[in-house]
Amino acid sequence: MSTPAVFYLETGRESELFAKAWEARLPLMLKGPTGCGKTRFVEYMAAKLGRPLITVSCNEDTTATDLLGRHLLIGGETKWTDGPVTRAVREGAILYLDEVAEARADAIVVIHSLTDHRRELFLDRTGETLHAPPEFMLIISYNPGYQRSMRELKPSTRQRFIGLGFGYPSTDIETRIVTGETGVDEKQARSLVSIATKVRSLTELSLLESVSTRLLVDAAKLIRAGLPPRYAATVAIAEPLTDDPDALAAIKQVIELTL
Amino acid sequence: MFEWEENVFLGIKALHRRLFVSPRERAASVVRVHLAPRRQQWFLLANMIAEKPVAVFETPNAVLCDHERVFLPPEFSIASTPEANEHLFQLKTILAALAIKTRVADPKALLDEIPALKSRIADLQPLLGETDFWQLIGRAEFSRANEPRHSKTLANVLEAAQQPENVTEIEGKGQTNVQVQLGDDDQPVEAEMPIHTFEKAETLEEYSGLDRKTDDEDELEEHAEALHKLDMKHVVRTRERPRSIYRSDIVMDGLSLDFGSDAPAGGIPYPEWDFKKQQHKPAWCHIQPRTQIEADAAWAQSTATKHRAVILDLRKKLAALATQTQRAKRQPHGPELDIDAVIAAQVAQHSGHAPDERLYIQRQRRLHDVAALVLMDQSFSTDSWVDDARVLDTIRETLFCVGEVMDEFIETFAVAGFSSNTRRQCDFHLIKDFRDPWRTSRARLGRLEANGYTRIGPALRHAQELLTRQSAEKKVIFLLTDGRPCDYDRYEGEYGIRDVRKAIETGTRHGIMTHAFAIEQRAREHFPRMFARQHYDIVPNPKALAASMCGAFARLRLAC
Ligand SMILES: Nc1ncnc2c1ncn2[C@@H]1O[C@H](COP(=O)(O)OP(=O)(O)OP(=O)(O)O)[C@@H](O)[C@H]1O
Ligand SMILES: [Mg+2]
Repeated sequence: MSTPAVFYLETGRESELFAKAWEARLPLMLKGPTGCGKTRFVEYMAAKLGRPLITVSCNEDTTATDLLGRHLLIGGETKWTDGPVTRAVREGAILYLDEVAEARADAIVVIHSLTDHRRELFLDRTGETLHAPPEFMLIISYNPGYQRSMRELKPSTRQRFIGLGFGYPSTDIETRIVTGETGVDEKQARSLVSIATKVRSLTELSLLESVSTRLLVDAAKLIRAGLPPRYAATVAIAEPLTDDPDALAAIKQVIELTL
Repeated sequence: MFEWEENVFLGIKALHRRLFVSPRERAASVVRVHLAPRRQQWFLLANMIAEKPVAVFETPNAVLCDHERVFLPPEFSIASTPEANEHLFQLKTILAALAIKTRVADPKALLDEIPALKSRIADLQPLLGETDFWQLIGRAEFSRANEPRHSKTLANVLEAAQQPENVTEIEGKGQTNVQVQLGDDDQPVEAEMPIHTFEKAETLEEYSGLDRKTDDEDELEEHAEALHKLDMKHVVRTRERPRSIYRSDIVMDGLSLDFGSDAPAGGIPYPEWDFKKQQHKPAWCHIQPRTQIEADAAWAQSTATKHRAVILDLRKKLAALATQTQRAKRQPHGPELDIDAVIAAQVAQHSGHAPDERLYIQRQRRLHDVAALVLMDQSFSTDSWVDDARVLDTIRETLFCVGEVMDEFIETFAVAGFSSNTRRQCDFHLIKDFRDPWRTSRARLGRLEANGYTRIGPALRHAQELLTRQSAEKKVIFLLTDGRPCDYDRYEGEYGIRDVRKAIETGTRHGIMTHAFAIEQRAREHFPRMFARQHYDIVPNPKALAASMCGAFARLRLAC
């Protein structure tokens, strides 16, 4: 294992779990709200394990063809081009399918055979069957937010993965993430985290998305760049979250009380 | 019929008030800040500071909070500037929320929680004159053993002999520490459940000093002022139908309403979610399915005439929506070629594979293959008035209009009402079954009566059950209610909210969507916790309900 250049602060025992899953060739599912470090964690682990990382952000138009590859017509000739999943299997890379629940059902089904003991991929267009090398690992992420999407993963898909839940880090760790990412002083970072904790308690009211660590990092970057802290917090935390005037006013009051 | 002396007295009093405003009152009116316009803001602030769900409860009492509610007065005018009165609201909200969070009753001990507080309070004190800030905001009262209840208080001042035609309603101030006694007419017998359990305030006559006999006019308006001064420490539970309604949230002391659970309950059992234990209580609620057959044809006729314009408008909107189509790609048939599919097929052919023959784009109607169940709150609280209209009337007239139009565009729909009297009697009135023709069912809406309480969970579960038997591809429940879940035997607050939410989640998992409509602004405080965003509408006034129902059809992704 190499020392990775990616900054990632462990929030539990997730890197140990990841490494063990990789050794045991088990596919992994990361669950958690947006901006809580899932992508960063996978980048970090890929660097740590010294494997290339291939990331696919899925959306409702993502089809099996997009993942596996297609024939292209070039000057009357057809030429097969690998999609990202096929490429990852060939290279023994770490494959990260972000927001997989958004993809079309047929796209989700093609990865099924990669997740069981067969670890193989069948390309019906070329008639090829690829066997995943031992280094290959499949990771999917999804945001189980009650408010977010009507789409949920089918149990038959979910149960092929081991699950790792990501939440917001504890106050101390989140403070260290903010200082580590941006270099603001600890007191300021702690205040930002305390604002986040308070605003997060509104999430259940579903008036707003929750404050992500990402937003805190953004606010801290603006403060580092010389903006007044209250202003930085307003533009980086309050405004991105909501358009509701009452909610905005209330969050601004919390910012004023804290910073 | 008025006693003329009283009339004169009241008239003179009003005139006097208008002409001889005390200097103090005049000064107060300039600086006065009301709770109502800022309520939502303080509510959100309190939730953030407490870092857990808390509610705002309006009461003039100088009490800071209880274990889950911030107590705020209807207004502050004691400070010498409007800004200072606003700060009073803010500081009381913050301190109350901190008290709830830390369980510390004395707000003075909370100053260190947020460093900025001390100087803010110090800045405010000089603007309060003689009054002491700490006295003004009060201390927390956590001692209450009972779970808080929202309830209604009926001022049955007039005790009319016959049933009144009109009911007047006045929104009252909130009260804490209210003692409830059972009235003579209320037998606390388990076998016979009370029908209405709205509390009746005692001793109203005492206020006026006029010591007069009551008559059968509706005089509530005149008495409003007096009622607002009423310190409602004792209320009586009664089953009488009210004459006038003085609506007020109260927190009751020392009354447990958990009725014995041994008595056998008929009906269809459904589980209920207990969020504290994080598990379902099996067969906890019992749905009593009833089919309404009484109808009022004259009502239907007059409603159709009265709302002709609304119906026309709705029809236009829904027709536009129904003809809107969605493009489905890669279909075996269709009026349009799918260019992507054609290319893919070409490529497949060139590379020696069997091409996919689904080369067309099909247009599907948006409202195609939908089964809907409209579920309306029939509880007693819909008997109250919003914007000069009885909520129940608004709901059923709206339903009538929507039904008229739905009948033309949606293959299968049903209409039902619900109300409850404890978990063992959750009534589910089927007004129109899926296969009933609308033409014969619609007049039944005219015979609906308000009844009982709002236990939303079992009604939803039963509606889901009915929908699962339908074969349509898209299934949806429209819930029309005026407010919060509550029942006679503890279905208030967090418990009810979580149960409703659980029921909806379960439905979603089975492909049944729920969209809710509330006709009460205050619903903003609890609706979002029950329903997913974009899956509820809070309708500012009754007239907007029909239009927003239409909007919901468009948004519900009914075509996906
Ligand atoms: N544990 C952590 N260590 C270091 N940085 C972190 C950590 N958690 C979050 N961050 C910061 O938060 C930012 C957002 O994280 P990331 O992009 O990984 O979120 P995500 O969970 O993938 O979100 P999404 O679901 O929106 O893709 C990162 O760029 C990083 O600055
Ligand atoms: Mg990500």
